[in-house]
Amino acid sequence: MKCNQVKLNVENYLDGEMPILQLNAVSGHVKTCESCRSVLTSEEMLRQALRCLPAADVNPRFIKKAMNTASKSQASESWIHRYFMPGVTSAVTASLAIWFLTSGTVMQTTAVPEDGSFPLISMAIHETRTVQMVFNSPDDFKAVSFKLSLPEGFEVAGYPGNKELDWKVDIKKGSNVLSLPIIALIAGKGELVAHIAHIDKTKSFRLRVNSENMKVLTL
Amino acid sequence: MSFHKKSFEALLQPHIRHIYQVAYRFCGNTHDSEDLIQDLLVKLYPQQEEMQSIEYLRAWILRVLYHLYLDTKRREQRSPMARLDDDESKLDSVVDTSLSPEALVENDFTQQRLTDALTMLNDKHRVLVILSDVEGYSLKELATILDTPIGTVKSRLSRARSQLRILLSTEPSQQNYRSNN
Repeated sequence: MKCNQVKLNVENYLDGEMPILQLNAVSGHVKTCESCRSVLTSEEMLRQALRCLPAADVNPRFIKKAMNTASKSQASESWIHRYFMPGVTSAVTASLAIWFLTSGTVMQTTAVPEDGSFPLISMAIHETRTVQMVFNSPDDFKAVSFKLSLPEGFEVAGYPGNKELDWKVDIKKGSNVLSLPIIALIAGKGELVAHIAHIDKTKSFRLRVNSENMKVLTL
Repeated sequence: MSFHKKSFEALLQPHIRHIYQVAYRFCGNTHDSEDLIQDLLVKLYPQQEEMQSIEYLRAWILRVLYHLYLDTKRREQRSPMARLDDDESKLDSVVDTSLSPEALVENDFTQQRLTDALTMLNDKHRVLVILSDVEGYSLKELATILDTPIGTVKSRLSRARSQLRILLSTEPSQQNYRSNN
């Protein structure tokens, strides 16, 4: 057997997917060919290392809890309710905070700002500014409705003509970021409103946007 | 139709530890693997009767797990929402410079390096390498689990291993990609 045939068949050899005659031919070849032996050894070492990769052991408490959830979900109309049991929803929405980031500047807003004003982003006409909305969630939530309303003269890049956009999103525990490239089409100002909803709970967040028919204004 | 928690637990008890470990290897962290297992159990619970008549139950459960995992990844990719730390997790993923096969053998099959390289594979390739080379499933078993012809499994696995080798021997700056096959 030649070197190129051996090298092409290293995987078959190690997988045991080779007729015995061919297998013996490979074994015989690598005894005398250092180059092929090196390739085979390298592949064997890689597989050995992969087989030794540790895996986290299962937590019995998690399994017990997961089994309970699975059995309860059967009785529920929808398994998604496990994330929003009565009494949990209000705590979740109350603890959801939202931050808007543009050009590295972080502005926090709440549903009802104490001073009645909302963060402001200024931009030039036809400029695209990526607004990142950062949600800090205390837990995982699936199929959360996210709706965005844009003021006249502003669009999200890639969605021409849409004043309202909505998605179903999964929010994970910790910080989640939604990137929105906002374009100003005309000079003007208005409010960008983000609505987050799940089941019967809704919360809205506002950001002021301002576009000028001149240079880019920095925050 | 009635379902019983105790019989469900008894049905899964011989397999749950292994299934969890595979889920952990797919996801790479406890949080996501627990989510995946939770979704799996919710999906399996109404199928108790069917499960009792399945001969190779572990392979069948792994198939469900595999499809759930891919569905989850697809949903994440479609969603405009991303984890804030997603990019950060990739920044220092695989270290060191281009190395010869010998050097790889001697120095670089560390657990962290392998884990990071596996993370860089695309989802289907990662699943194949994990099931085959980490968990030791044969090509025939893989064909059953993935519900895919054995020839297809074989060629995909070969591509996956090839990608893994490339990742293990490439400069870190070149590793921030995922293959598309």
